[in-house]
Amino acid sequence: MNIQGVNMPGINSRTTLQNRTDNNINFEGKFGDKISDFTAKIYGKYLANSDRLRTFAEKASKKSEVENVTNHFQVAGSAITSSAYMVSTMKNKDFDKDNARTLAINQGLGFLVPTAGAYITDHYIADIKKQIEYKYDAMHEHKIAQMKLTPEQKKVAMEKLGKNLKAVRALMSILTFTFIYRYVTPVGITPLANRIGNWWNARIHAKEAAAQQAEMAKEIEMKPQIGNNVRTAA
Amino acid sequence: MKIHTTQNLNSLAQNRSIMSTNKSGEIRLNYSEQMRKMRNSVPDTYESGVSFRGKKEIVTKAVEAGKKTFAEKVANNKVVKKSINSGLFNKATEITSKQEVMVQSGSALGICLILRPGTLLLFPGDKNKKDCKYAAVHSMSSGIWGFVVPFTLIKPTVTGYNKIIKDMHKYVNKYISESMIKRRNPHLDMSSIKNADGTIKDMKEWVDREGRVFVTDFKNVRKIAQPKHISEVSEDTMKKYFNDLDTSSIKNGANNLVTKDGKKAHIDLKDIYIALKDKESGKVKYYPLEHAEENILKDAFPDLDLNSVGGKGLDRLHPDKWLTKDGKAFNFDNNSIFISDMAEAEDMIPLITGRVREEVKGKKVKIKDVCYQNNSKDGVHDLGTAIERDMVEAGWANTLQDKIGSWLPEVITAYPRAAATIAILPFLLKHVFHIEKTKKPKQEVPAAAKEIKMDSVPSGKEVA
Repeated sequence: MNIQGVNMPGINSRTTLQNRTDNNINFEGKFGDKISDFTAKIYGKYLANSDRLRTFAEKASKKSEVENVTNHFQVAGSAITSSAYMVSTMKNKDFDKDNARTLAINQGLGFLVPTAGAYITDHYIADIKKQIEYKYDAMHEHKIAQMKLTPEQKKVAMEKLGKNLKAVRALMSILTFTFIYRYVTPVGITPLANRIGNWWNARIHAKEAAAQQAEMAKEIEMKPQIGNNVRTAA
Repeated sequence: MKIHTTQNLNSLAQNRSIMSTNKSGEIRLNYSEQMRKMRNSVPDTYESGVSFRGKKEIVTKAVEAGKKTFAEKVANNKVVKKSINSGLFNKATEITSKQEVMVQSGSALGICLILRPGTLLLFPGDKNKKDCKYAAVHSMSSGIWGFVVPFTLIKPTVTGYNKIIKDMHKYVNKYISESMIKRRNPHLDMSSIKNADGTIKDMKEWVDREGRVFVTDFKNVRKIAQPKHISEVSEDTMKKYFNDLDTSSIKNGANNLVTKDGKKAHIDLKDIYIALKDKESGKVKYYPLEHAEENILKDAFPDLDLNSVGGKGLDRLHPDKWLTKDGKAFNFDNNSIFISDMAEAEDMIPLITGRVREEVKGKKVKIKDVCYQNNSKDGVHDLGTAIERDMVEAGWANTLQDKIGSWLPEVITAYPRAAATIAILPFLLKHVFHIEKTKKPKQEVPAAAKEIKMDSVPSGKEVA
């Protein structure tokens, strides 16, 4: 038995008890069960029963806050994705080597700067996340306490709240990182990085042009001298 | 082993030398300037850190509401409260608890479908209209692509892992060994998981080492409505806790409450909470009188003969029967009564009794209050299973292991997905939707750089 919507607004007015599996979000029913049974067999069991992974988790979790792991995984995914784009840019035959390098650097910066920004933002909102979690908990515990539930229903409701509670801070971290990576970066940081790249390229080209001009001027100056020398020698 | 918390416990780790153990095995902590320096490591009260640093005193009047921090003000903001009470937030937390990757790709989908295209079209900057349209469509398609792949590949994979963890009883010794189950749940009584014939029982029938229903969750601890001083609660609440109360006697003070027939009004022991204030930090903690540890009673009532209070829980005697150290009847001050009632409080706090545990994270050691699981046998007198250090540490490891199980497929598939996006999206947009970015001169450096900006080769963050 599962209490659907026990933590939903208007709970007092519509607490519905339904018989449904709580296991899947959309992959429900026999087909979904078959798929998840299959993935449990080919993937889940190797992680759930891995001695090494468990030992690693036990040791690592004693050294740092496990709540931040969600952020690290998001960053790891983004780092890999960014590197794919950088490799693609470097291999793109449409760009000359200089431009490709500049663009790849831009893409790298487009990963580093938002990552730093996301970590800093997440750090500064840590207290807010904590307080929101407390508030979420208090509001929903109140609701559950005020509902007329059987002990069994209350137990199910509390279990569900417990699971949701564990996810509140992770949810806010995910939203922070995703907003920075998927909105702030392409809309704000990438154009800025491109401008810096363009400015940098223009600067290099201007320097090269100036060097070329100086070289040409030098050559022009040298030619009459050489001619004079020849004449003198003659 | 009892720990007297009249001193600074935060410094327990760094100052082991300052501890002395007496014959009865009690740890006594000496006070030092070094401890004072540790004040800044204020523990998390929700997770029940011991924030007391100095001597404690019982509170006999209404507790003044402390000044709210900025974070508390944000959490109490009407819009924030409405948002976290909304169905959307609730659904998002529910999905996050099972599939963090799906929340990431779902929120990215929302941004890529609405927010980014909207910004691009409303604020085109120096782009032409066609390029803006291309960038917007590219954003939308990358968002959809970034959602479809996790939904079809990653989600079912992670569900397979979650299934094993959630329904362990179905997979014992098939996908997860008994020893691994024990490592994940050190409080589980392994003898309770099998029937006499060796078959595995349903998880609902499993019990923990204290004989209560087995609960895997260590985070959702047993809580109480934040207690309110007796002088602050409403008349209705007073009537609920003092049987047959003559409400006109309320104005005479807590010690002069009488029943309608003129007798002294009585409140059950289970309904009495006391509050202790740390003289130094000014922090207040609430304890149920029925379960308060001896060290708490000692701090609260210095004249009390601890032998006269009985045991704990149902064995504890009502304060009317307590004695002072010199054998006289103990005069319990009703002004020290706090009442925990849902109708009176907005906030919920963990139920604590004064028991403490060590929490070691890296080189930091904190002393925290022991909380209790939500598996009380009767919901009143029985506290629930105490969450000890081994359970907390297993909980951390479980969280990390489960997050690895949840994110590994996302990380593994990140590179091929990005490569596929680079190869497929521009092709699809061009040949299926007939949308193409403006061709720029190849040699022109700024224009070439702009190609990135125009999303023909989007930045890494544009793909889920």
